[in-house]
Amino acid sequence: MRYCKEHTWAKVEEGLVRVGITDFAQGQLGDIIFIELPQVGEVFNQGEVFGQAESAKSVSSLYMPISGEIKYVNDNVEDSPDLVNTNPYDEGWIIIVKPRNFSEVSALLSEEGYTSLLEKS
Amino acid sequence: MSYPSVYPTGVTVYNPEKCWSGFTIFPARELGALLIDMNGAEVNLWKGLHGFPNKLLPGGYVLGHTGERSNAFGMQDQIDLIQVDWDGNVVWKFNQYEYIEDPGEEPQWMARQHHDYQRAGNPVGYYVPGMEPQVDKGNTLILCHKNVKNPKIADKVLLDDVIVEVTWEGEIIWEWACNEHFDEYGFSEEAKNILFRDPNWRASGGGMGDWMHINSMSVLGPNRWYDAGDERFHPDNIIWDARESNIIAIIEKKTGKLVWKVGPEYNTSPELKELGWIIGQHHAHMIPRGLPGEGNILVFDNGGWAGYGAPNPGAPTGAKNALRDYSRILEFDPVTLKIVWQYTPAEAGFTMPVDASRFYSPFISSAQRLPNGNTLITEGSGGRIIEVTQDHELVWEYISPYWGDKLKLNMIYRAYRVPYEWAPQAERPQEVAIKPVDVTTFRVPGASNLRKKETVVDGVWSFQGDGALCVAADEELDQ
Amino acid sequence: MSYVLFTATGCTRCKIVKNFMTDHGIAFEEKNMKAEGKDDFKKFYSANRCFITRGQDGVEFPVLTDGEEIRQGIGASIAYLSAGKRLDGFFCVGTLHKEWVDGIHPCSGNLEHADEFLQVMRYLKKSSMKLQVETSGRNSHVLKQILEEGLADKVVMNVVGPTALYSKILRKPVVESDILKSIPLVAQFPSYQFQTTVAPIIRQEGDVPEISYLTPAEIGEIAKLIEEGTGNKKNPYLIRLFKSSESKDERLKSIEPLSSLFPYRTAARAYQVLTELEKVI
Repeated sequence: MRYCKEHTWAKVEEGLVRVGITDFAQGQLGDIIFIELPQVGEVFNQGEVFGQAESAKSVSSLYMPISGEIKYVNDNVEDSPDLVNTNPYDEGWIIIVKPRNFSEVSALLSEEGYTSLLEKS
Repeated sequence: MSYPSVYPTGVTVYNPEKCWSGFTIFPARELGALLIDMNGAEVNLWKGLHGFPNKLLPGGYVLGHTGERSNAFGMQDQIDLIQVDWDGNVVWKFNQYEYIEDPGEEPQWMARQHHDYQRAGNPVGYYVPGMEPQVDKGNTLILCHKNVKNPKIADKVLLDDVIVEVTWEGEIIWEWACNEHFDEYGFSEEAKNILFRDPNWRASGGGMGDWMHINSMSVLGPNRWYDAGDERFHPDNIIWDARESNIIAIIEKKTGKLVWKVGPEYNTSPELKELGWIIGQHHAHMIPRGLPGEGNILVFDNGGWAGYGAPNPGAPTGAKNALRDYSRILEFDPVTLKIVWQYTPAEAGFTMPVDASRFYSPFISSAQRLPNGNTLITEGSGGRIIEVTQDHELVWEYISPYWGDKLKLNMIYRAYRVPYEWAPQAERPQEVAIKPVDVTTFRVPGASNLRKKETVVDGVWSFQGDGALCVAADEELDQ
Repeated sequence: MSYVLFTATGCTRCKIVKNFMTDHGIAFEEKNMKAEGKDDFKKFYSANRCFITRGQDGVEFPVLTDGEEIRQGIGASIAYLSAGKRLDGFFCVGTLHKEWVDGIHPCSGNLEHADEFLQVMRYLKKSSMKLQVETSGRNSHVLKQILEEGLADKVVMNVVGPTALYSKILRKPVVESDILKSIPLVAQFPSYQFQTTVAPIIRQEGDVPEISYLTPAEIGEIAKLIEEGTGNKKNPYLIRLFKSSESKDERLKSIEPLSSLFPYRTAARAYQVLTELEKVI
């Protein structure tokens, strides 16, 4: 699993990349009451906003860790956004992307890199 | 230090061969804007014209102010900025910055200008070949005051520094306020702590914190750094320095953001340590293109007392915690921070540090680079203007004979040298060399020069140098 | 009709609305979104997201619903509970916090119901809230009543343009003398401010409408109007930048933003010397 400094994670699975938000990000947001998802087929560049996570207190944009096309979205989080709070790394995943370039994935932060980023901020 | 109670005023040294001769304009204490020639003759006195500072423009125009707001209500607020011609007629005026109703005074618009301003056409307000300031059009950048509250800085009223750009017609078209960029200045927690409690509290105007005290503001103008792609040095960007915080900074004209600075601390990198603490400085500016040293920063590093930080025996609360009792003029590279040229007590010929405060102005003062590489220095507190060569030779010296009645100082805020051509109404003066007087034999009338008897004492040793003074000095200091 | 009131723990405004309902014998179910009502609020939120206003600190509470209508914030909720839709226009959500309540607009409701509107204000005032009223200057007699009863702690008057342009800008009929009467009233409140947004104005309707910003001269006229109305050159007067993205009119969304408001400030300062520009972050 690799991490982006905008607090999303990316995991390569059978030629595709699954994306979610990190445990740190869900903690910052508090109880998530809504996740705005993109449409399947939409194409985003790395760093672009692909959705929103909303809690009663705040709204956070979700940033693409890599460039690519949306292949699947997690309909379950639309109905139960709390999955993102409880299981941000598995059941609470958000989208699956067909990457334009796999090298973007390997260029993302390692777990160590992400942790030290959090410590610094 | 010991100074004589009797010494000459006016011009005391003049070497026409080595000087970049011209007229010199300066605000004479409680007198007016005074233009003198190289021998000290007064070419024109614009009587009563205030000068914070005075600047001469081509065509014999002079910039200044009709007055200063009462100290009961304001702190160094000049009520306006005006341009008058050779005969004192006002040809341009700006005062519409703030509408002021001081008790017992006529309600009026005031500029609240202080310390500096720049007319378009020239980045720094002094002579640069090919960059003449405009005299009948063009915008003017003006440094002004504004009272603000900013709880991030302190819970008291702050006297903030504001830069406005004003058109010839008097319209403000750009404005920048110092307090709005507090987070960009790099104050340490210790500094923020004392700044919050004592933002340089001044009694005038009912009390306010003159927290930064910006005392110089000029434009960078075209320069080699920008030409080489360094965006920080965009020709439109503005450099200022703040006496109270020891910061010299460049702000981006477009965004107002700080893009370059030295200070408030000078011990945070090897380069800054090498540059040394700049304290209470004045007149930091970039030497404009067309003058020797172009692209370098020239600053009068006053010393004295300034800054916010950790308490020390000389600053029990941490207010004005950086101290030094002599001044330096530094010319340094803004990228490497390496000192390219300097004039300190050592170059002035004084034994460091025991005699260092013979070159010392703890406030005001300035440095102007001249086209032949000389530097015109105003050592302000003692009313002394000098011109020194690249090799530190003193080739011109003037002591102001004008002590104030209300303030017993002959101080000069800032002096500028201008070419003779900028005052075409004046006759071209004769340049008469003045050799320095030999002070070892010079006596005032009535004082004796006689030695009546000389006695030989057998067995006495010869005298030594400064190797064993009560305090370490000169070479010993460097070891 | 059954009411549901979504509340948050520690929300004083929510308590005031609950008290109002209890006092008036209105049955309701409270759902605290931080406790037992968490899941219900989530469901409600995702179903009605586009109708719910978020301020700087997130969703504004309380949120009141009867299954058909949603009202948010203390003013709009109490208004709806007292008079149904009759008071729509007088109240909106508001953005102020702590003891301050805003979103109160005497200028834009249906005048037939002015008494009921004032009744709501009296209730809010009695509940120890501080009220900020915003007005364009229409319905000056309602503002006068507010002043006489001491119902508002602060008034912000949006002087939208010179009086001749008022109807064009507000797109409803405006009586010039109504606006002129409001100006001196505003200056009598304990705290007040005049302001104008330098907005583009549709000067001439049509297939190709003629659109241009308020001019510095027009802002000068407004400042003069304020001087004449109050007999004072030193009123707080704020000039605000138009944000095209917040415009309700599609035709105004594509208008180029102004590069500088300084000429406007200069023009206004001739008559209102304390004129300031809104800080844009």
